[in-house]
This record gives sequence, structure tokens and C-alpha cells, in this order.
Amino acid sequence: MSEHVNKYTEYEARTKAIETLLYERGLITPAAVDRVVSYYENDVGPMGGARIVAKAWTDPEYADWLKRDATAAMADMGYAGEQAHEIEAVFNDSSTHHVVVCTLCSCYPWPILGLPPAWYKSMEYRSRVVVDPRGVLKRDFSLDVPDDVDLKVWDSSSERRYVVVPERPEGTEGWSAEQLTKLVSRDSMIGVAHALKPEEVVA
Amino acid sequence: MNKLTLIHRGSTNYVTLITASTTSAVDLGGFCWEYRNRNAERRATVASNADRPDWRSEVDGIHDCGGMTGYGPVPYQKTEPFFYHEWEGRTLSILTWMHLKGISWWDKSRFYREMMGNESYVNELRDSYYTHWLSAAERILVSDCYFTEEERKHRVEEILDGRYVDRPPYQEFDESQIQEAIDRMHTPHSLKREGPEPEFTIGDEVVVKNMNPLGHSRCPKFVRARTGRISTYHGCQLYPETTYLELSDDARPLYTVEFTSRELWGEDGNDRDTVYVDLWEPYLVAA
Repeated sequence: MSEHVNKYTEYEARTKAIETLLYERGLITPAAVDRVVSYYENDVGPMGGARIVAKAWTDPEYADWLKRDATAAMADMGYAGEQAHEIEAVFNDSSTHHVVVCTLCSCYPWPILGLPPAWYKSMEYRSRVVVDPRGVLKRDFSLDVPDDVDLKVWDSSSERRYVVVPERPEGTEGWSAEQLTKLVSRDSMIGVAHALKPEEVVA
Repeated sequence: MNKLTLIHRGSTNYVTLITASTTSAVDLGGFCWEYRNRNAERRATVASNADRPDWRSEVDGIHDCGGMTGYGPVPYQKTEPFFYHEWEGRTLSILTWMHLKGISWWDKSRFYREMMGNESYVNELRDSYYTHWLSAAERILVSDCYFTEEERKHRVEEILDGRYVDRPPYQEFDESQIQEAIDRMHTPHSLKREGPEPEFTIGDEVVVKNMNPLGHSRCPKFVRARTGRISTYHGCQLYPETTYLELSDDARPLYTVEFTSRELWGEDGNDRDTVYVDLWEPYLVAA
């Protein structure tokens, strides 16, 4: 008798168990599951947010619309739906820095940022960023918020979602919106980083 | 689309009645209503449990961690894959289909995640946040009688023992049915609902009620009994406290409330920073 080698971890087996039971109940199919995995891997991601921020930097009317009604302004660029049904854009400037969290779980604006990174969902981030945002940003993200800058933390406790519009970096005069998207990092739209400087972009 | 098909499944020994779904969820063809109906008695027990305080379980738990200490520095990584493991993506996909089909919704899924037990919640999170989704999906599907816990455990054992053989699904979906669901993920809808007139206006000082709820709540502990200022009003939105077990139209006024760091953390806060939290009116009283 050959030795059986278990090739599944516990989590894999548990996932496959409910998946196959649901196949048998006629509720879902492998293709259906695959397609939604693909949605998360391909249909959403931070490029959407980068395009929106770059447009706000280059088009004052759009920036104004984004301030007044981010949901509509983003939908206009094709970014809407689940986890952005109601979204607010908060703008960093020389006197204010914003940072977003979901202390209660992991709420995050999927259509424009994709799925949240593991650190965003961690007990470490969720527990401390509402108490000591400056300390967390400095120690864990190497981001110094000067003493004369106000810091605002947004806790996503409802179905509303928040996105940070970082400040446009210096030395980007005349850049097109498309060029500017390269500077808008996912981290800068959560508020744990500034947008990249021109010299920081890896060609 | 109301085709009725009677199929006898000898291997699993139940008669399955397949009918086109008439629920308001995405209509994706048949679903085993008969299996659920056979468990109607158990289903009624599950429903009545919702009224018992101990059924709601103590979920004013560790998930509500704003302000806690002791977890250490943030495990920041500059880049990471969307999913470290395939099971993570498939778990999220299964949960998404459960939402699309109206089996669960956000507040119900969150409640079930919160019910996984404080120790498990933290320990398994270290493996992956998706352990929370997996655990919630398992318990929702068993609780709502899609399969029994025995069947689930048995299937897990079969898989781990290498005895489970992949077989075709009960029915295939049209590509168009799947696409309809994806389109729905991309389609926005307003969160605002009909509800009572708001009690507070922008600028009002409010105090968050002191509370120790047993069921699901979206009022973080760190703002309870604290004084804040109404920053914005968002109309009436579905109130999680009453809609996490059974979806209804119960919507209450929702505000963003601003709290100063000093107010929240005393000497351990500072005079510059503010924290904004979205709070429903039942959490608030006038200062």
C-alpha cells in the first residue's frame, strides 16, 4: 500500500471542502469561483486611484468635483461599485495630512486601490494608528509628519470609504497626467507615504 | 425560467428539487431549495436563536482593537501579491458569491467573523486575514443549512486523506450569468435610504453612549463615552445593529463625528490630531 502524502494544508482543505460542497448544491461552479478571483486580481487595483489623483493634480475642476462628490467623480472615470458605493477623498496639503484605517475589520476602497495589504488588516496597524498616528507613521513607515501639520485619521466604520489624495510632488511642472500616475503609490493613497518624487520612480 | 427538475441523488440519498431562483439576488439558475426545506425544523431553531441573548454571542470582542497596545510594530511590506495562497482568493470568491446570492451581506459576514473567538481571531490572523473569511463562510453556510457541520468535517477529512475525487459541479452556469455577477460588482448603488429625520446638525457636540453590546456593533470602544463634534451628515443608511442577522430597511441617520486626540487619549494624546469615525445616530446623545 503506498503512503498517502497529504498535499493540502488545513486551510486549503477547508476551502476546498466548502467549495466542493457548494458545487454539489448547485450554488457555484469552478468557473464562477475562478472568475471572481480574477476580478480581484485584475479588475481592481491601485492604478485606478493613481489615475484619479493624477487627474486631480492636473485638472482643478476635477479636483473640485472630487472634493464635493468623489463617488460621482470616480465613477465618471469608470471606477465604481463594490466597496466604493460612497467614497470621500481627503486632500493632503501643507498644513494637513490624512491617513485611513478600519479599526474594526479591513474596509478599503477596492475599485480604486484593489484589495488591502496584509499590514492594513493587521492588529498592529488597526490598534495604534488611531492613538499615535505620528509615531506609527515615523516608526513603521519612515514618514515624518512635521509638528506644524495637523494629522487626521479616518476610521472606516460604516460602508463609506476614504481615499487620500497626496500632495503633488515638486519638480513635476509640465508633467502629463499619465506621467504623474507613476508617482502615485498605493501607500500614498492610504496616507502612510507621500507620493513618489520624480527621482524615486524606477524607470 | 421556472423550470422544475426532479433528480434523485442516490449517492447522497436526498431528492433535490431544482428551480430557478426567485430571490432578489443575482439569478444564477438552480439552487437546492429542497435540501434547505428538509432542514426547515432546524432552520426555525436557528431563526429563533436569533432572539436569545446567548445566540448573539459576545462579539464586542477583540476585533474592536482601536487603542489597544501590545501588538508591536506594524508588519509593513512595500509590495505583496494579492493572494499569498490560492485558497485565499478562492475563499474570498466564495464569500463574494454568497453576497451576490443574498446568502450573506456585509454586516452578517462581519458578525460571523467577529464570532470566531478572540484567541482564534488574533492567532489565525497571523497566518492570514483570509482565515477570518473562511471561518465565517463555514459557519454561515452550516448555520443557514446549506450543509451540516458533519458533512463539512467529513469532506475536509476526505480531502486531507486524499480520498476526495474532483467531480463535475451539479450544474454549469452560462458565461453570461457569471458576467452579470461581475457587472454587478462594478455597478454602484446609493447607500442612502428612507429613514427618520436627523436629530443632529453639523457642528453639534455629541457624546457617544456608554455601552457593552452583545451583538454586532460598529461603534468602536475607543469612542464610547467620548465627546465629539458632528462633522458631516450622510443621510440615513442601513443600521448594522439591527440588520446583521436579517436584512431589512432599517436605516438611521449616519454622521461622521470628529474627536480630538486629547479627548480620546487624555495626556497620552496631543493637541493637534483628530480622529473621524462614522457613527449612527442611536450611538449618540446631545452633549
